[in-house]
Amino acid sequence: MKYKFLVFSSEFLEKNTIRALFMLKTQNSKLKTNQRGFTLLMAAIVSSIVLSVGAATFGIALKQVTLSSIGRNSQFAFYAADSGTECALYWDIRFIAFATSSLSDARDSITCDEKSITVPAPAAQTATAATTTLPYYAPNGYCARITIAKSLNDTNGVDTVIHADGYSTKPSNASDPAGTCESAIDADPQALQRSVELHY
Amino acid sequence: MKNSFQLSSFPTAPKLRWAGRFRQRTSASFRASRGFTLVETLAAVSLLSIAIVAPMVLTMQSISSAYLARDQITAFYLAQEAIESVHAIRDGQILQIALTPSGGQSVDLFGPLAPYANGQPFYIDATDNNIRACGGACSPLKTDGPNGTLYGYSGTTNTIFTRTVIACYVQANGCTSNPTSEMRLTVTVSWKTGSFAQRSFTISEDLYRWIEDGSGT
Repeated sequence: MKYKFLVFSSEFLEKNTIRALFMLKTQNSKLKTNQRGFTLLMAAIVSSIVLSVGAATFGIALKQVTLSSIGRNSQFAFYAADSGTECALYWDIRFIAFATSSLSDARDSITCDEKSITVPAPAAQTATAATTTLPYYAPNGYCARITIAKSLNDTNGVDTVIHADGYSTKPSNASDPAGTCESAIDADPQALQRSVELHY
Repeated sequence: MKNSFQLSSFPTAPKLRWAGRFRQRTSASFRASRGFTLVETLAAVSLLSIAIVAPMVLTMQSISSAYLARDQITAFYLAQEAIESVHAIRDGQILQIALTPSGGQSVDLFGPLAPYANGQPFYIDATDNNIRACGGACSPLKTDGPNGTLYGYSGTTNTIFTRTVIACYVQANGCTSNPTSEMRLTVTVSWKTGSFAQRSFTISEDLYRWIEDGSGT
């Protein structure tokens, strides 16, 4: 712009500076006329930049919130599972509550977290092994299910596997976890499962 | 600068004449759309400001939600830490029973926890597994300085997190201080992030005397 101005002024200054200035003004307003719509373009660029920064930040924040709530639910599920294994371990070690084979006896029920849990007949049993799956129970409100697999080994010892699944879902009826946990877990799209397994 | 100097050196008359002509031209070409530019500008300014302010607000909200998410992750790890500390104390007692040649059986599995298993809140410092009663409401966790990362109770700077640990013995109907074979541990971490309301996170765990110990239960 400075260069243009100098050219014009040197051409017209000698005769009439006003005319030179006027010409310059005309030239400028012509330029401006040609540049109409630039403001719109500028506005569009600025607002789209701001919008995309906003959208990107929102996307990141959304992922972080999702991650932290998954982590939070994961804790509920894990401690339900861990309480489940502790319960089964206690009843197995101290009271031999679960069947080792089709020949051995098991208790009818055990008590965990204030609630009595019925010990069902082992789902799969042979003369040397038995697997008992307890009905759902809800330690501290969250659903958990324990499976105890016991078998006789070659040295006449007993191998035990305690497997507990914990869920971040509460039973729809808190006083009947055995009946309502499974449907609650199926119905919960956010249900999260953690499992703990003990071998000894 | 050169331009203005030359302008001022001219007599007043031609300048006025020029100005008059300019005014005439202006009024002629803009008479039809008089006032429209103002409305147009106002509309454009308000549209642009909405287009900028809305994403700005979105960004600010997103950033504060991200802070909340960060603090929630810290909160549930702090809760987990308390449970794992108590777990470790209980398991330490099991080792003591297993490794003491004679008299090990008299060790109480919940021994170090027994004085606090009364439903009253207590502190547990994971840095040294030190337990002491809160005696009322628990005070916040501390770190060793404004940018400290190790949470405990021996530091100097309060954090935004308050951890309340409660233990009791599970009975057939309720949870009391009367010893049984099952201890319920409830950890609540509460905190406040920025302008959000107070939030809290609670997890519970049941611990059992799964080996014979000296408690007689």
